[in-house]
Amino acid sequence: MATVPVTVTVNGTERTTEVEPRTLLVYFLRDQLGLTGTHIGCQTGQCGACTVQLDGEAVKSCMVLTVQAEGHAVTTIEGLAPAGTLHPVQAAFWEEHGLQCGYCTPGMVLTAEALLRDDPDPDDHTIRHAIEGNLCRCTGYQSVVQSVRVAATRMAEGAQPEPLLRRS
Amino acid sequence: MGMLTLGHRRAGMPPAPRDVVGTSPPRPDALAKVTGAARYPGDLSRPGQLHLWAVLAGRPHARILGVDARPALAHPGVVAVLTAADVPRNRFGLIEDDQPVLAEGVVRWVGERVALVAAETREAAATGARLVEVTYEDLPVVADPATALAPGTPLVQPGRPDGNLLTEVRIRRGDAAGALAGAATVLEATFTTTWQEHAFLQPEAGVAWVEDDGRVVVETAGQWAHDDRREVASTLGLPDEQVVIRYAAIGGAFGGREDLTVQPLLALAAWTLRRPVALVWDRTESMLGHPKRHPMSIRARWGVDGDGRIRGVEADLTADAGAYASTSQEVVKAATLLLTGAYRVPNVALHGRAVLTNNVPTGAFRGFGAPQAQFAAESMVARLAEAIGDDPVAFRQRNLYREGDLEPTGRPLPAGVGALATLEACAAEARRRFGIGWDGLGRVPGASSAPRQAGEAVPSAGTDGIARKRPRRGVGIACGIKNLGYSFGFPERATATVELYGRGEVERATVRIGAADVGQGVHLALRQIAADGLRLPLAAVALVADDSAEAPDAGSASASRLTLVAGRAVHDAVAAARAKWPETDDERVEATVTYRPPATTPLDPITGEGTPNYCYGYAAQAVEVEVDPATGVVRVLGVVSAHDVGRAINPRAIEGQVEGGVAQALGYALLEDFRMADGFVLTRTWDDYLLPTALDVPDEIVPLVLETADPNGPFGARGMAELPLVPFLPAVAAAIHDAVGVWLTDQPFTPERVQFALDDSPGTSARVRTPSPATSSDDGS
Amino acid sequence: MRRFDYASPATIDDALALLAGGDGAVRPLAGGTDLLTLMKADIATPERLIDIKRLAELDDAIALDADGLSIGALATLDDLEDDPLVRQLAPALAEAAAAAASPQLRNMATIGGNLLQRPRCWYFRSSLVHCWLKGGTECQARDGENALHALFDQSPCVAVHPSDLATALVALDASVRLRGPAGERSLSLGEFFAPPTDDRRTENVLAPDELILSVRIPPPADNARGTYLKAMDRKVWAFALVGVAATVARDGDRIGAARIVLGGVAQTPWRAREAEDLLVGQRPDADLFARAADAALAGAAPLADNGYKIPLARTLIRRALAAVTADGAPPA
Repeated sequence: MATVPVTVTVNGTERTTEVEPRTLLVYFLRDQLGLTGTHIGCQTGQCGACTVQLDGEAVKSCMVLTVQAEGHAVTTIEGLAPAGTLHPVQAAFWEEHGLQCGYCTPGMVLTAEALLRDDPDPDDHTIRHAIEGNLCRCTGYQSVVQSVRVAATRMAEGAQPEPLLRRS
Repeated sequence: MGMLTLGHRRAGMPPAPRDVVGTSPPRPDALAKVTGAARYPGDLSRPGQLHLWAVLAGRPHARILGVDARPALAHPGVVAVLTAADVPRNRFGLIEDDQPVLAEGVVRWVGERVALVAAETREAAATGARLVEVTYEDLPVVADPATALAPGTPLVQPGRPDGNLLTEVRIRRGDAAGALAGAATVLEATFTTTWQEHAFLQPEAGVAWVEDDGRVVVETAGQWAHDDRREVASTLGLPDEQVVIRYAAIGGAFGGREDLTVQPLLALAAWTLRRPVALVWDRTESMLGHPKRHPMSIRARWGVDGDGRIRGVEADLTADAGAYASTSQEVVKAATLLLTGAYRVPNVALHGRAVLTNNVPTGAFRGFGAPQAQFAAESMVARLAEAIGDDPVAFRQRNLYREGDLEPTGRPLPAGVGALATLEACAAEARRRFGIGWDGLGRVPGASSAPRQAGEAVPSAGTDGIARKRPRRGVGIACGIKNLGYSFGFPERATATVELYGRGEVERATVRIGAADVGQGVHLALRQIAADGLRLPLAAVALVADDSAEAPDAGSASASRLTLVAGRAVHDAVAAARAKWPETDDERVEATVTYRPPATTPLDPITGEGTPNYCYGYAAQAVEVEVDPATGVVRVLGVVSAHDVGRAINPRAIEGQVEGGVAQALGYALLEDFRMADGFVLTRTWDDYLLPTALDVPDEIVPLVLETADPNGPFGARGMAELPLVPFLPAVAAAIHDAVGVWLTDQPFTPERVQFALDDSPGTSARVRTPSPATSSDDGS
Repeated sequence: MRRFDYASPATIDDALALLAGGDGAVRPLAGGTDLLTLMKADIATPERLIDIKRLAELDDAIALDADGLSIGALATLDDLEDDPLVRQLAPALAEAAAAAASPQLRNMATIGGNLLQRPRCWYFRSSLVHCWLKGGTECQARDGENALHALFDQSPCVAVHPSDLATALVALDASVRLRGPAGERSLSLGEFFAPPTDDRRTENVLAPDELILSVRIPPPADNARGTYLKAMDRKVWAFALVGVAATVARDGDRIGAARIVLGGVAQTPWRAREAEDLLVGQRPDADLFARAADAALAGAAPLADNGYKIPLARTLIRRALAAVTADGAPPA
């Protein structure tokens, strides 16, 4: 059975390649593009660790075939902020202890960022509802919600992606 | 994570901060985790690697009549199919090496590995695994402990001295039967729990290769690199030093990575095929493939005398060990010891058994037997308090362990008994937060003992069936005790090496200690301990921890022990290195220290006498729940979780452990229902095994941290990470009772179980055995 | 996942031509959120997927005309949850959409695919078990672990229909427009959903070479209100233990018309006609609701482990009826 050509814009760069139709978007991103920040947790669309943004909307990339992304734009954790910078949501997760093992974190961050574009000032319940499809087994979600809240506040104050070097 | 390399020199350094211990700087590892740069085991690859796929049995008990690899080998890309005959020494196990790397003649549980396919691509490996033709003759399935112990039942592991009885432990003190016969009030109940799946987000994975010098390197995740090395080396028949275990970023563990899973498969393939190999399990393989928390059945009889003091306890515990030993012997000893909770009981007769079955093996899971044992113990305490008309806090205050009390094993408790302090702190905070609770002597004035109604006014009982079935709130409290560190004479130690560098003054340091950071943040805590001792900024202290060849053995990330044992080793090695510094002009000094806590002993096989532990952690939790009697749905609205941590090295990390532990306990209490039928796992994906979401956990989880210094821990610190799992289940049971008047005895408290307890509905199968003084059987019918 | 071919035709006719004669080995792909889980578990093994999400003639439009609300088959659950027309005219559907899956899946899953999802029975979903619904001879759940299974016995299989939307849409008297080689046809959802038989082991009568074009909801009657209530093991994002959709139209101080549909109790959305008959012409009160709830479950035949669903369903029915008849309360 043949491969098919696909063109997907990933983190702002157009990528054209041949894939087997059965190639899930998550494998395309990880295996072909080396973007291993998109994690595989459950493979049945439950855990949300593989969340990426498809045309700005959060989707679970283990539940999308690469061919379904043909002609669309995908944002992964590596492309959320310009290279060498931290997006305010990433900075908040880091500083507010919004993670422990960190495996759920890229998906959480991308879901939270999509939420904040829709609703820049969400209350706690809205935050929890937005991340209900992202499982975390470590934090009990308290620090995750806190991180999103802090990110919202900082973004409302105009926070921009900031250089990583200043922080390391 | 890996090695941190730092290049600070004295000239550019800021003034050394004071008291690095006790602060909560952002975790250094978190930066790579928020950017996606962190590499977990499934993210690793080696040039020229083969992809592995394990063929799982898929049936609980069968004789292997033949394995035909030819169809698989004929598939393009498939390079090799390994079977038992390829394993140099086909046995492994944490406590007892009773488990084959690849099944030999028989499979004993559905997740047993039968063959290992190596191929040039992941897809070819997957297809190859499907093409391996294994011929089986199914054998009778031993599906539960009762069947396993019945005469004539087939043996899960023929040749063992006690048949399907894996282990048995008895602890006796005083005259329990006599005490119960003479007690003023005696209650008896039976409690059951089911399996719990760790559900760490990152499934088992790794890479392995053989170095030019002949060393086999396995890069993966785990909880104890040096013991992984011992076990892996043993399966290959190699000396330990010829195997290197490296840990990538670890995506959670919770006890579920204590047993080997993919590691011996990776090592076997790399060693046999002399090619780099990669193996990544999917979620179903993970669900089937690693040991779970033990299902237990516990029968308990507790008696109190006329002045409300516990006189005697008889308790009997049976745990389903599954097909292989894993850590079942140790878990059952720990659980049996804790069948009396944190209570002074002069007369005890405790009995525990672990039984082999064809179910998924059971082993370590955060709490290690303590949650099951204290579900029974704390429920009995709450019911006794109710039976004699006492307040649940006052009853506990009267009976909880004090400093110097004897354990059921007849020896005094280790110093630092925080049972009463955590209870009282918890009760006071719960009263403040929930506006209801206990003042330590009795219920708060105004807090009625009748269930409170959620939301609006209390509806009148009677005419309106809907109103009577509105959600009701209740509060519950429970205590917990859990050993910190290894028990029963298991060798307990940690070794740290500290290297100091500088000209004149110490400018920077490297700490070497093979302690696994499974997500809990212990690497930061160890650096904080070192930085504090050296009066260096955190950034000037590098840590080497994730390589069994580069860092000494710290023991496992389990039993909440690393902060105490590994932390103390770092603390002492820092002191030793500092002591050397003035004695030399070298720009580098080094000290290595092995810390050994006070010794423990095995228990006497007849009486159970001995010194089981050198340290205990204590906790108390209060929960507020809302129960919808009509649907059986229980929501946890708020939690207060009080812990005596000795000293908080990193307060935010401790809060994170409390919050995360509570969420895991909430899943255990209400949602997580791992199901097996006749040896088959029904809950094979997270579609069926429900984990708590952000909306399931309460908005309010209040961690209370007490700091009564531990005599042995660094800066007085002791561990705490398992404790949030211990009191929660009985606290929720008590809160449900407070809300709707029934005691639930079968975990988890799913809507159907709550319904069963409340309603005399049809279809009440034998699954639920709750004695149900149903308060409300109405649903309008 | 096994290999398959992929085609992205330009027109519906092209798509239908590709589906024709495939005999189930050729399957349409829209959001893929159910089909992919079946394929990963080796339960569905299509040889070819036909991408219908790119068909210009299929859309996700939600529009109102004299015949009611028309919803394109490609409308996502997220669209339904947020759409002002749906929220206003068919709140039960918006509630059902919001109660299904998780946000990331709601962004992908379509209404058409949602109606076609397969049961969540663990025997059906395990590749180790060749159950009746997958072409075998036996339903392992009937005498096995059946706490999540059917109360009403419709076929050899006791799995329940998993769709929240289906329950709500039957209560809204919705229909689907289908197109196949012989042209278009419309079916009420009551006709569309049908228990599997020996010859057709699916939960609906859609032919393998047919596509769902759109879903139509008739204009609500005056004074009509509806709601969807769902009981789950988890707070969110679990399949319904029981779901109840109720629509009630008032006629003065009495009930003029009512539909009560249960999810999670049968292989199709289960319409409680006895309860509906009992309600019509009566003044709404708690006693009436209780009698209707009893009538709805009178014919239930619980299995060994699922009897708890009976009181659960009765409770949800009473609450749903109370919600849609409460004076002054906003439409639920």
